Amino acid sequence: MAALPNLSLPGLPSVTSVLPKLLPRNPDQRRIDAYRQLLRREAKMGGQLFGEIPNGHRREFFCLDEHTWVWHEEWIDAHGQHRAVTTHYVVRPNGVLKTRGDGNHQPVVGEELRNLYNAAKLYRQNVEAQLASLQA
Amino acid sequence: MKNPRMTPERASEAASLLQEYLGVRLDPVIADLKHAMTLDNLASQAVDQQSHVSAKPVLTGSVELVNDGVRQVAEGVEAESTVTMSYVEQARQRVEQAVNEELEKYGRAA
Repeated sequence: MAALPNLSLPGLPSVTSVLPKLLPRNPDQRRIDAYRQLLRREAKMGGQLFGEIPNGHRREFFCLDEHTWVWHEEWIDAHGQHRAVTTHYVVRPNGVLKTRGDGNHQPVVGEELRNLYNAAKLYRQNVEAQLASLQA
Repeated sequence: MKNPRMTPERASEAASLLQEYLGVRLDPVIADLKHAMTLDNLASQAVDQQSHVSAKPVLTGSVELVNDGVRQVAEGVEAESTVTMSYVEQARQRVEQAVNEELEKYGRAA
């Protein structure tokens, strides 16, 4: 389909931003949207696996792909500043790397690795329970 | 209570997505995590074993601890223990090397 001209008027949303909401989506797009919704839901569930979330914090933990787990946490610090930390755990058969967006990769070992494994197992159990409830 | 918006079609689609999520994403990564943890346990055991070997002469009072290492001061014990520690050290280094090589590969790819 040819690109649509931007016909937006001041203060109104553009045609291109509104059209996808009006026109029926194709099955692929619908599936992608559903998958994103699923991930958001799993991320919220995953954030609750590590105990009580401190007041004012938002925590997410989810499996991004077959190599990566993501931990995301946001909060307001004592000075009223918004803080956010996203940690990627890159899993390989011979080891796990932790990255925090600053280019540094740290190996995950010992208790942290065991905690990550246990969290992943719990996460899987919860997803499986959701699946069972849908199929019941 | 059932979600009134969850039609049978939607439930079926959600179940299909969850099944895919489990099989394609979760199972492989959890298997890799388990394998990585097994390797880490082996490396820890090698270190523990090394500590055990190191600690043996301590019982005889023939060595003294220096910082976090062990300095052997008794002749005879030193030679025997060096051979054993060398074996354990080699095992530990092999595990470390395998992990480091994999980490380097990832670092280059990133």
